[in-house]
Amino acid sequence: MKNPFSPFFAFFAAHRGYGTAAAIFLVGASLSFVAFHLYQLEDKRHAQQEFHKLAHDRLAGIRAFLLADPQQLSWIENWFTASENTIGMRIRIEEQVQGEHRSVHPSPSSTPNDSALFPEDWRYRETFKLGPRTLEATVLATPDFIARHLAPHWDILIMGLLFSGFMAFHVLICINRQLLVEKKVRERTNELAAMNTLLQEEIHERQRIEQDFTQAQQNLKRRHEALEYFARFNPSGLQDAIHQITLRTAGVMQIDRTSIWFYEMRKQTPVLSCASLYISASHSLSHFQELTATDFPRYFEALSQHSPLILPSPHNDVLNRELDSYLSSLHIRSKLDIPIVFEGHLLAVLCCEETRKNREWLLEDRHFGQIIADIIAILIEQSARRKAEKALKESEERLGFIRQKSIDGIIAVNEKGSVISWNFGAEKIFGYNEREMLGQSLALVLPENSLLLQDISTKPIELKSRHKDGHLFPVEISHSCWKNGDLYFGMVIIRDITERKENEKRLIQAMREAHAANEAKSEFLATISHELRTPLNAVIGFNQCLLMGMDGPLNEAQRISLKKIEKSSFHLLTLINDILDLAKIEAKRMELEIRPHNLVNLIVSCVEEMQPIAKQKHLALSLELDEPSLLLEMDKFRIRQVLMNLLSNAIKFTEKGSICVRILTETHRASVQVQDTGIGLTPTEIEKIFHPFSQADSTITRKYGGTGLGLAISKKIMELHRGTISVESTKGVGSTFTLTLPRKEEGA
Amino acid sequence: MIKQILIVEDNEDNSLLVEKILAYYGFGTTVALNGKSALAYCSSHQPDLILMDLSLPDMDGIEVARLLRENTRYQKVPMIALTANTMRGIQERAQEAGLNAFLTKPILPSDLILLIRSYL
Repeated sequence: MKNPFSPFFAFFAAHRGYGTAAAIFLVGASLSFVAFHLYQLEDKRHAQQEFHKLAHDRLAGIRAFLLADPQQLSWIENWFTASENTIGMRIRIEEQVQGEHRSVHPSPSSTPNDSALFPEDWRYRETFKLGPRTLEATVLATPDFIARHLAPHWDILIMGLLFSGFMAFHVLICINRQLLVEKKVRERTNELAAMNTLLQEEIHERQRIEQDFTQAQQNLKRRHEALEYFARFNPSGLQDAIHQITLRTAGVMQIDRTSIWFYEMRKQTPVLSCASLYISASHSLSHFQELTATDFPRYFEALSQHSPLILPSPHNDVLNRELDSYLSSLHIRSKLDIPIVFEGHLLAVLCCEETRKNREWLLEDRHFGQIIADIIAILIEQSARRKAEKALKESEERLGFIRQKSIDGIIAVNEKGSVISWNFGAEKIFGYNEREMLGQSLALVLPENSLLLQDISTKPIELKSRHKDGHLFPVEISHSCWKNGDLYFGMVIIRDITERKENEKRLIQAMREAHAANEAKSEFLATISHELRTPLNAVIGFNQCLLMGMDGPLNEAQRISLKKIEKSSFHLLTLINDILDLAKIEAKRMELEIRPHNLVNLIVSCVEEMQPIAKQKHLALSLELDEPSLLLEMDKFRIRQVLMNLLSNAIKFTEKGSICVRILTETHRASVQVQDTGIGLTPTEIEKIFHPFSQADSTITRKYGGTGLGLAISKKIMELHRGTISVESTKGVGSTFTLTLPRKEEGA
Repeated sequence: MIKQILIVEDNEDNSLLVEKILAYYGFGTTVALNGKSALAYCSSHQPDLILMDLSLPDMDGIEVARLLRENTRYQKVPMIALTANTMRGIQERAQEAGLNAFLTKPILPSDLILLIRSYL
């Protein structure tokens, strides 16, 4: 990653001479200033010591003078004032009188107001006593005095600066020279590197040319060997030959994917089916892929030109777009297709596909491909011819065999209707042998044969024919004829159908009888129903009349007997109904009237009808719906019968608790559940309850009544509706019966 | 005035039963044992209601009903089919022929009376 500051670094590196020079100069100048200043301070200290000594001497003189004659003060004053300018010192003398300072010298009146001219650090004070007087003397240095003792050392500063400047200049020149040399070295190195690269390239180029040359020699050798191999090779079949050629071609031409595709017509659509595909990278040989002209119309059109095709095509973008999906799905980057043509017909295609690089297809590649294509063309043609010859031979053999061995008569006739071929089957059927019939007219055995010659339908026809002994018998004839210019050839296949005709007659008779029997059975069921009900009508009716007291009042014993008759006769009626239903189903005479009905309404009406009976036994009968209406295809009457049966069973077998009816709707079916809290069933009982006359326990029939046929009938009815009936139960806990009915999908 | 009911029924026991029930409830009855006698009776009399067995020895009860309905005098007379025939479709055929109601044998006296009273 590039350092964003690198241009700055480069700039500083290139101009580092100036930087260094400036730095050196600055350091030198600073040192000069520091030295200059230190000198100054030292000078000042010396001058001040000098000043203090001078001041002290002077004041000592004055004191001695004053001690000798204190009255001389004013005189001294004058003397000092006169000499101030020559010595450069001013002396002030103050006297402390009663805590107050009073200037003695100079006199307050003559004191010039110029104390600002005397710096504070150039002062010297001394106090001395003169008898009772205390005098304070202050010596001040005049600027003149200071200037005389304190001259600045400009020479040091100037020398320092000059030396720094010289050093900086020297360094600048040295560094710049070094930079120049560095630049020169760099330039030279680059020149040498460039030269080196050029030389190496030259060497590589030479090596490549040598390699190419060797490669070309090897290629040529390989191709030569391959062609020699193909000239001598002996494959076990066309598929084997194609595989071997694919393998060899891939090796010789160094192709990633080499394939050979057969061109076929399938339902009027040209199809290329892969006969062999070799993938060099995985060494895998396979076939069975297909391309159709409907998917790749332009590709097929391009192939029909019969000339090699390079893809992606440099000047046909439409074709490239069409093949893009094929090429990109297999990662093919370039492709050479050579049509395999024999006598102007496209037989197959040789495909050379490169996946690793964009191969430049050379003229020699194309020439070699063409030679391979020609070899394949010859192989395919040879194979086809061999196959056709074999098929022809087999067909002839088969025909001869069929003709001779067939029990059907096979007769060939010419355009005049004369027999030219007569087989063993024909001899068996008509009694004439081949010698007798050759050259004879077909009319001899088939008097109605003119009909045959007109009718060219492909269906077999039935005709009367005459046997050698003169009797007529029915035959079935299939015939066909070829007309090729003047040449006519008719083929007649004849079968004696005397026996079949008789069988047909018998069969029709048997069917009629069976139908009649079935009708009779149906009639019988209707009659028996009628005949059983008619007397029962009188039994039940008169019994009812008696019970109603139409013939006078009854005593208790009579009433009990009549009640028994009533109960038994109703039981008999139920039995008759159930047995007839079962008989109808067994005889497949129960026809359902399937119409769309609302199952919910049906269930609601059944539940309402059973409600009073449930109430009598103090049972709760409830209904759970998940949809307000549910249209189903069914026989309303029969489904009602099933529902009523389940409900009455549930009430019958439940002593206390509840009965719940539920409707569950699913996509393809609807279910109805009848759940009770009754006596329940054991697994063995569950197995039996849907069989006729097998109420779980025979004692149950006595205790609860019923025929034991209801569930068997219900099961049959549900099966006729393509529905189911099932039960889940726990002995002593209760049972749940579930009906399912198929449901058509909405709008279907 | 006593309502007259014609009972067309070939089975003697059953005609006796129906007569007995109707008499008990105060209806006047006449019995015809076959289709022809029923038609003959109807041409000379005018019953208020007809109970028709559908399987008669000489003709189909439905046929008898159809013939009666063709007569203008019998277009409004209630006719009730009484039959032991339970084959499917017979009820519809009876309805098409003009029969007003349908009772399957065995019949209960109470049912019969209830039905007749709804017409008379």
